[in-house]
Amino acid sequence: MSAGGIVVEGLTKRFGEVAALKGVDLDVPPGTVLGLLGPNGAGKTTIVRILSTLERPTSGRALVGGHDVVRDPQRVREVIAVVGQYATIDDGISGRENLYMLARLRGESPRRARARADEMLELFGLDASGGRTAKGYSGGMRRRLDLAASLIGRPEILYLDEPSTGLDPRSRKELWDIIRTMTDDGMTLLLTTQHMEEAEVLADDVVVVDHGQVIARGTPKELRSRVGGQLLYVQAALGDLAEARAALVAAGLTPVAGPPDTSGEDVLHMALARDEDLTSALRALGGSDVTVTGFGTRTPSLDEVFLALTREDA
Amino acid sequence: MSRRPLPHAFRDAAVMARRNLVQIKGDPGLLLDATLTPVIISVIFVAVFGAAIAGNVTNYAQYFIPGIMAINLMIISRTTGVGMSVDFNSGVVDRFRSLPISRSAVLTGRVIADSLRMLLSLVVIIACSTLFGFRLLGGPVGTLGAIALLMGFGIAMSWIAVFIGVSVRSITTVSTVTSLWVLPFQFGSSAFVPTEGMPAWLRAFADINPITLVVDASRGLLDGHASSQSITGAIAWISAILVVFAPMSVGRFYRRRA
Repeated sequence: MSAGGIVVEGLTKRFGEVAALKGVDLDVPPGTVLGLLGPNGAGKTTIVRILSTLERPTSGRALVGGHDVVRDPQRVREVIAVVGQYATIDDGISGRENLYMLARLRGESPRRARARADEMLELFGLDASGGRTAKGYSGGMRRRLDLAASLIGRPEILYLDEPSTGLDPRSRKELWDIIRTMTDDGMTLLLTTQHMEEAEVLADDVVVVDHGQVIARGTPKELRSRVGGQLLYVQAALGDLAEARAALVAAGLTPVAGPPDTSGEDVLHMALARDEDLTSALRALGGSDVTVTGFGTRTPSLDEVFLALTREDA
Repeated sequence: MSRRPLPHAFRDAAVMARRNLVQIKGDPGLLLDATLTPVIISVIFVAVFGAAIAGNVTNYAQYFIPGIMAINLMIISRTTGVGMSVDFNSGVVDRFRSLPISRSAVLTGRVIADSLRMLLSLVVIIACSTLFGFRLLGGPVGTLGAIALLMGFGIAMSWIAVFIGVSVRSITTVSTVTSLWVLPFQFGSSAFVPTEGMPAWLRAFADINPITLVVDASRGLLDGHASSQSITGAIAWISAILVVFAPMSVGRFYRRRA
């Protein structure tokens, strides 16, 4: 095996008038995890579909495990597995039959395929329900069966397209544990997600896409520093907020948007860009008439970084 | 593009056929159109119209049974198309298309599974038609010849249905289209009544209609007076349909966006 991993150069895709991808470059070295982060409609799924040979690019090049997705789709299919946003299993047959069928299609003998199906059912905690028609499975069970179906062929490269869609927190946690075991075993992984937390937990590198373009890339840590390292938050009586803000700006600090999920009416967020900023802020507030009700520093969440990045782009 | 060696193509198709057959275990209703439907249609047409059309029930049964065989195969072929559409709409097709399997396997597997249901339906029809006094005058050779020809026809019909199934988006529309297009061909043929009594324009259509040729040839084989002309015509139609629709369906299967 020579050039593994995923290499994408200048990938574009048009659907009629709509440019879904406007020139995307990616590099996922073998054995690493790339988190592809972006909002709905950013082009994440289109990238995954092209890399899965389900869609042809309009222009550009994509090599998966060293094979060109357009010129050599069958070779690509031999090294990949895809877990889509929705479970792609056959509802009409049992979980065991689903796995047996896929093991056979991956070239296992009937006996090996049966053994492999049982092995996967056990690994994914489905041994008790393996004989039942998949139609009756719960959401979490379907997800696990879907993942088992993808892994049964021991793929070199796995795409996970928003794997935690529709999962409750506990199932999500279980899924992450499974994914981490796989990457520890050296599998190359491309993970798309809307959640920074997921990318942070699982990915070595993160690429942020929006409107079909890459708007940022780096390790989760690097991306976080793009918003200026630490954040200062100040809570004050409602009437005092404007004054507090003015005082802090006068002291040389820059206000930033708070996290999207807090009501944030009485909270100010300021970037702490320089070492002396915190002291300046303390002085500025101390010298004002503002009644400070809360004060502290924290690291920005990647959701905030993401929001800041997509806003820059817009 | 790398091609899978032929043995893989057979294995892949067999695995997919097995999948479609195992589905019957979870939904035995899938066998209804191969068992109950032909019985009901036979009883309705032979018992209700038989005497009026052919003087008595037995005469009409001897005429109509080959027709009901062909027509029931067309009815079964609908589920081939609908099943394809269900697969597309469930997303399982995306998994199949991203597997390193022979390009035709998913479609061929389904056609193979449905052809087995077709074979079952022919056996059911022959068994129950004896109740109306239907006789296999062509002997074992004629009977097997007719079954072989009809199976070829059924498989050809399945490929048309597969093509509709991979071309039309909604399951409901696939179901409508697959049952609609067959109607003029079924009734504008020699399946129910001889074409001689039809108006000239309809007869012109009916005489070249593949269903007429297949039914006439099967009728001849079952009755022991097959004309090589109708057999050749039937085989030509079956081959033509297969050559056109099978590759077109496989092409669409890989090009269609889910």
